[in-house]
Amino acid sequence: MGGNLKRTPLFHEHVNHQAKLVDFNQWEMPVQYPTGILREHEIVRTAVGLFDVSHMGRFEVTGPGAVPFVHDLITNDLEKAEPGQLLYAAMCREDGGVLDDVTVYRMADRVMVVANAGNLSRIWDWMETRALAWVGPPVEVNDRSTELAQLAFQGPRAEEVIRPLVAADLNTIGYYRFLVATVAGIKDVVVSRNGYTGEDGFEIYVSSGRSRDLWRALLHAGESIGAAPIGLGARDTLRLEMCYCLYGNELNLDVSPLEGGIGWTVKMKKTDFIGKDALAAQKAAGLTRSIVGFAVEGQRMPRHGQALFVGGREVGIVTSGGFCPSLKQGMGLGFVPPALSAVGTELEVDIRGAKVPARVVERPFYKHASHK
Amino acid sequence: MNVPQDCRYTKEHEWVRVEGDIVLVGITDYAQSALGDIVFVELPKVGVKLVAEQPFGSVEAVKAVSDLFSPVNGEVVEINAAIGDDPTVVNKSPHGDGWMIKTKVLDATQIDQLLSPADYEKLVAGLAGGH
Repeated sequence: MGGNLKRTPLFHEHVNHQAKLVDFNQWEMPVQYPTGILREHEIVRTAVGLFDVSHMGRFEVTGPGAVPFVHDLITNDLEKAEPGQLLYAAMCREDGGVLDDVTVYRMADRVMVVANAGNLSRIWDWMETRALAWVGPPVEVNDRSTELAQLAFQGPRAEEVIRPLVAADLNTIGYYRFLVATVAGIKDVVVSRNGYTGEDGFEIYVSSGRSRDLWRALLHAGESIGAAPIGLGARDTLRLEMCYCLYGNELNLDVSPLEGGIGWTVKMKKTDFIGKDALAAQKAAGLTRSIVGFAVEGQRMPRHGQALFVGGREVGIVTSGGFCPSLKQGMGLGFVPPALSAVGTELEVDIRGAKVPARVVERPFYKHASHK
Repeated sequence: MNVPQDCRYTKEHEWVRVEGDIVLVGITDYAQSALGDIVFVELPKVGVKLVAEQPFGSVEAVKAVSDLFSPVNGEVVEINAAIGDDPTVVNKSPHGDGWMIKTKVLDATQIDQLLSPADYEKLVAGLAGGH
């Protein structure tokens, strides 16, 4: 692996757990451990698993203008959010194309924006440029990605395992809420109830210097119920079963959040935000494509980039696809014209030269997720 | 990485083991490890004619799909039905219970042209240690 790949503060933990390491957006990350993707997936669905997602970007906005500044950058309504709440949102260009999908934490005195690893420099540049042009109350944007590590502790038994370690009452935080507490003796840890798996669980922000201690404490606390480190491979199968968007697949610069399946994050009643006019125009004109979920017949898996057909005519493209372990079936997400998006619509997927029958199904694919 | 001495290898990570005038074909330990958990193996039917270096099936892993290339010209005489029931046997035992097809060999000299275990080990070492 190239010497120019970035490593998270937990890199040596992955090596100790004999991870298979891959280049993921210039980060040397665990795609799986010897446990294997199928078993890792099952551990998260039935018990609890621990992910290192420190490769994501953590940008902090401080100053009296922090909330209105970030509010203007995102499609969701940050001014309606209370301190202690986080939002999922798109960050758009003026033309409505998605720069990134982000989670935004409204903290007591600042706002934290969490961006995808593949978009780190783009989002940093965008926020810096926008801060310079910002005419509202003063803001300062800081990149805290190196100082802070980010873990995800996900599974139906996440809360029971972490509860004894947290010096605060986790019952006070519902879905998409967070608190700041001492965890496993480590001060000022941000614990938020959200994730990318569909299961109950937490995303956790801790100083990089103490991240190894927290990683080990969480695995130790969950040892008796089979808690294990989980790689990016299972992270992808878990999110696919939930039909969550992946930037670079469903979302892109030439895709709007309305098209990409996250229209629910776009609050048109907001006074203003970057991209609003373009999205309003797109909505008024009607969408030309939308995301659907589909199941394929047989055992060949649909894959990203394959063409979708109806009656011999090419109508769209697969954005994500693969084996869904909980359903034991090949499933996919893809773009089709809205007229072909109804559940039950018959499609065909060109899987390596063979037209394989597929059918539009309800999203999410996995119906038994434990998230609250 | 397990590279059994009684096999010959292709650059595409198939192995063959000669048993009389029949060869067994499978994918190597390196290949199964690189693919990760295998969920489906598509194999030809008995009687299908194989052409060396041409695809004869595919392996679907959770993350990726990979073609299977025939090491030799031949004709399929048996397929391993066990991997249809449980494809993970290919991960667990790529050179043993995870064999894929048995084929009649039409031209035995083609086997001699395949990689020796030592050459295959070198190939894999180059893939693992490089860049």
